[in-house]
Amino acid sequence: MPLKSESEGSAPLELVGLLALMLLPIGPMLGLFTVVSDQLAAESIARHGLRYAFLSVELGENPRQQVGPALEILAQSWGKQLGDYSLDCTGCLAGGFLELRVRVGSAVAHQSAGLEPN
Amino acid sequence: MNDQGSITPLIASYLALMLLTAFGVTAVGLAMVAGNRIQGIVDYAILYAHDRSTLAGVPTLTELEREVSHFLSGAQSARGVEIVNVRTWIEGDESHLRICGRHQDLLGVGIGSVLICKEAAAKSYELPRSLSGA
Repeated sequence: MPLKSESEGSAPLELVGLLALMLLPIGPMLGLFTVVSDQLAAESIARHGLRYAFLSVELGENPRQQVGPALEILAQSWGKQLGDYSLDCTGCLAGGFLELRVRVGSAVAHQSAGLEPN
Repeated sequence: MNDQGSITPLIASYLALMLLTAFGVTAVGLAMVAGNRIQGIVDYAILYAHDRSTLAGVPTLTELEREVSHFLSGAQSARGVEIVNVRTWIEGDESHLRICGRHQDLLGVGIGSVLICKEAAAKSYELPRSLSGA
């Protein structure tokens, strides 16, 4: 009895379909990687930037003038573009809170520190 | 030779694998980001509390606990974190703090992180006269 082939369909078409499925997640995964990477960078920049601002208050300097260049350097070390930032220390009085908010891309990080009491 | 069947199970498996990978990557990313945020809160909370609870460089536990609580209620960075457990203790002249918490809505998509615990310690020290300028 001779062998009979009954395969139907198109192999190239199946190949194209499967390749499309395999390539489909690359876009969303890259987007997700960017979001997570931006958020990690923002958190790290906020932590270290706040430490810098905290120390500049201790040295009697104006933290608002000092922290900008420091944040730029930190952002460069991450290979990121610093969006904007805000430093709020309500008069920078002893015992108050120092609040730093940093934006990198769409990610926002926020860190707070307490200034030393008198 | 009869070569019949469907590639639907293959496609379904592949889609399931894609979703699993995406969830895995998101969960790991969220944990890393939340770890950074919570470590920052713990670091600054222990500095804040230690500064305010020491007498001649030695902290007192009741003051330390009160000041940690004050920091966590006043600092804006702690507001996005659901604090599950706070433990403070003193070893000699060192203050220690351990916080376990979940960061809520980290990437703005309504997903919280897993429970993350971070620890920090602080100690007072006296600057040598040559450094302090005295």
